[in-house]
Amino acid sequence: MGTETREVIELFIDERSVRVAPGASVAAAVMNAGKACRASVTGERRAALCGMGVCFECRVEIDGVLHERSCMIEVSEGMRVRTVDAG
Amino acid sequence: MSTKHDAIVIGLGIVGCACAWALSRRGLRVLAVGDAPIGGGATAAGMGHVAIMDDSEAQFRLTARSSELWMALRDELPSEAAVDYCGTLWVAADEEELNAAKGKHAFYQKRGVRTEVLDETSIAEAEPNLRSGLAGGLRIIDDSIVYPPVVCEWMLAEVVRRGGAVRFAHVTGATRTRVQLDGGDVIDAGVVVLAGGDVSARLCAWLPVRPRKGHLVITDRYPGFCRHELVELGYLKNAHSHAAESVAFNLQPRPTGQMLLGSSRQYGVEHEEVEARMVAWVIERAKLYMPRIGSLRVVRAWTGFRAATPDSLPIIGGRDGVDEPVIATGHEGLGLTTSLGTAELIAAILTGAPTPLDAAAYSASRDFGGHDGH
Amino acid sequence: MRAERARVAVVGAGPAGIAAAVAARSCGARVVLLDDNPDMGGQIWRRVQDGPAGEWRERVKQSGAEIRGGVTVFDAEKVGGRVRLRCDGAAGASVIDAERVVLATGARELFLPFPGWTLPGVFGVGGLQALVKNGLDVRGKRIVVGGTGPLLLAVAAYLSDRGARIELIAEQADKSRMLGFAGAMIRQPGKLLQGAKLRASIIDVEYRFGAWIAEARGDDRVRQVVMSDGGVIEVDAVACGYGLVGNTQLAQVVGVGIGHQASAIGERQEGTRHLALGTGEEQTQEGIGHQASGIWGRQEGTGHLARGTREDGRKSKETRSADPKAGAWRGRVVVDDVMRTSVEGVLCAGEPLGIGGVETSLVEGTMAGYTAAGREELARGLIPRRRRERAFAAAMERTFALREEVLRLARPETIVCRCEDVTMARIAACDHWRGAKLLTRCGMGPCQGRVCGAAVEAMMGWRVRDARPPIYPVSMNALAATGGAMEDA
Repeated sequence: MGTETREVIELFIDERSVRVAPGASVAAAVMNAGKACRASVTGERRAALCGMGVCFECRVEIDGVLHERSCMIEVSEGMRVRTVDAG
Repeated sequence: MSTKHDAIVIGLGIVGCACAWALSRRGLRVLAVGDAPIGGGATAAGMGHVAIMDDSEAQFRLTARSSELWMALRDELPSEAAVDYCGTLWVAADEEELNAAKGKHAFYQKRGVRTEVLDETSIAEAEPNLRSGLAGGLRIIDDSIVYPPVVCEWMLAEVVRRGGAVRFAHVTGATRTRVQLDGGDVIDAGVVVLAGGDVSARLCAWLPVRPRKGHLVITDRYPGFCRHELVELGYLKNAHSHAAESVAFNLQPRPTGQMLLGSSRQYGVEHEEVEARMVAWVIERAKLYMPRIGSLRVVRAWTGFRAATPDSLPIIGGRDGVDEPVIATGHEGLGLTTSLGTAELIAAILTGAPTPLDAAAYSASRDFGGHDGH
Repeated sequence: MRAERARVAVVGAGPAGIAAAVAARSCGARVVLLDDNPDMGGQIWRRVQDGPAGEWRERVKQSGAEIRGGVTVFDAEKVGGRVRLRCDGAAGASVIDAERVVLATGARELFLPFPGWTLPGVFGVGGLQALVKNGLDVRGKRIVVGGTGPLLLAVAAYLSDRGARIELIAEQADKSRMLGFAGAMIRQPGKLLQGAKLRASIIDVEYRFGAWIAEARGDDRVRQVVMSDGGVIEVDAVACGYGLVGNTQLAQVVGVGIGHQASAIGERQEGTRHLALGTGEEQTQEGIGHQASGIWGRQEGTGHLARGTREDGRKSKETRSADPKAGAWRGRVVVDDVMRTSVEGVLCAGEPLGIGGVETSLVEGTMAGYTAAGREELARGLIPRRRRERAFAAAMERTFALREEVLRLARPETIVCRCEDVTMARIAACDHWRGAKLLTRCGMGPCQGRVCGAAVEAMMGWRVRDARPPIYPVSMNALAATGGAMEDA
């Protein structure tokens, strides 16, 4: 389920092009790019904790949709991701 | 146990807490008693709005006085009480409702309440996520929202600080001067006040108070999605109707950026489970006004029971010659708003302290006949 | 919106769910297998294609069960004799009315808060493995693995294979307990062999017993950990988890009886159709919020609200259970000997019944699948196997029982509820979970208390059991579409 035929997926994290292997989660792509995911309600930078959709720490904005759990979503071509580290 | 309490207040919701707090401020030693946790019933379940309402003159006076009292208290409350003067925006879908809004505006203006009529353009500017083509609305500028459980906790802490006490216990019986607890304990006091919300009739069987179930849902954080507490003017028809079930669009922006959506009203449902069809109905109603709300993510849904009376006014005060507690219940959806006015009135009745409110309108001895709701 | 009927719906496509689907299909029932991950396998078999995982994947594919990934079941309700599942996912909202539902909702990690645990780069143990399986690059990264349980070793080996430098494995349990566990393993040679193989692949890494991560330090991410002996280790990442907690939320919302069992479930339950299981077992619906809670009650007449005295209030029955052998209160779904819950048509298998591991899940899943398909006698035939597996799981649980110290790592300023940033001090000032929720907002965020609730259960001894639909955040559109509005009123 969900496997792509491409060898590399290009997506945009905070407007920067990132290339990752197909099947990777958005959380992995974000963290491989050296970024954290979200700002906590008191402004702390947070990144994935549980890796399995439970903790909601890895929330990012994906293609304009807020609060997506990046560990539960696979990267796709042209996807635009916005993290706490966006400029 | 000897009479060491000047007053016992039964019920740890916002009305009970406010009564205990107001009495202790006037020098009484108060025991607040009820089921734990503090503010855990309708108080926690409600939306927490302080709204000046105009359904009747009596309702207006109580809500307007209460609003003044909330305004006076705002700087004393802890920051976690999350007071926010976002204002209420009554939304008029069509010309008929806009005319109703204008009528309300005149009513409020005459009584010194700051309001503003919005036309089609200005309501779209005020709330960009409302659908286009709405006729307008009415803004009640000084309406606010509060996080009630924190206020309850703060009030009871004040009670304790002034020599009073709080006791978590299930009350099984009460007279004008005595309370009986589950387990057999009996406590005497100068006077007993019953503020048990929708379950008050358990201790005072004649009370014409019925539970009216409501559903609410709250979203993740979407700061700015709406700015005022939004209420459809059709709400009035629903709130006043004694139909078994109704919903109305009511959206509130919490200071956290979360959107709190209501509201439903149901009679005759005793269980507190979240009903999927009621939630769906509330959301469908909201989408008629805010189509984009459908994509917002709900993080929780819950229910609560309002204490509804046949004439939609609370019952405040004691009946002469009857050995039962002084009553403070029946606030339906306005318990948070009217808790302070109610407490002031209870204090006036019991201590002779001044109040601009006229007790007769909310009297326990008033005629409820012929309004049993069905 | 899609609406359909099914004979058997299985929620969760880990080992228990896969086995349930295979068993039910083998009896000819139409089966829908749902999982919120895109791919099946659950947490334990995530992206594992070989060995038993591969065999079971193949088996379920061949079985003819309809497998749907990326579907989140956010509500379950009895409607007209069937069980209605309300779902959301990439393919949109849907409703499934099933005659029988098998809840195979698996487990999540137990995280115990410690200073610095919110820094980026601090992960769960299973959490880091899951992320690496999904593409997180750990090559050359210095990692300390800490917490408790056999997962530490397995994950350390996995990370090491993926190029990470494991600095230390810190197991909080004492070595003496582990020796007892080895005895239990000898009775299960398959498991022993598996353990030994894992051990060999990271033979140079120190596996320290009676040790734990006391603090993480860093700036924009984690840089160091402070160990329980005060030693400081430079790191790029931390994997820390204290075992598993069964996911009972869906069971709770459909009204299934939740009990508490501190030890071997299979043994006591054997042969009884009844759900009340005696000592240590409590059935549902106690009014948590309605018990006189210590300190406020004792305030009468004292004249001030001394928060400090709440400490001894916490020792009352409602609150603290300090004996680690008794275990913190952990809700578990109660089933009879063929996996039926207290709600007609709802079955449950695997971790929600108490953490049991893969083998237990496979046996229980198979039993649940048979029972769901109406072949209870086939399920009964597996009772002895289930008993053996559960006995092993119980031994494991005793071995890795949490020590008091790891429940005390959070400082007053340490954040416990990560969604709402609620500190330990604020939570400790409360008397019970509901009070803490109301006053501090802990557990009120999108994880709905899955992280902080489990931690608070362990640390404070409170009972956290307040799941309501939707059990995951879902769009208003999905709630509206699946709620059926007025038409089925």
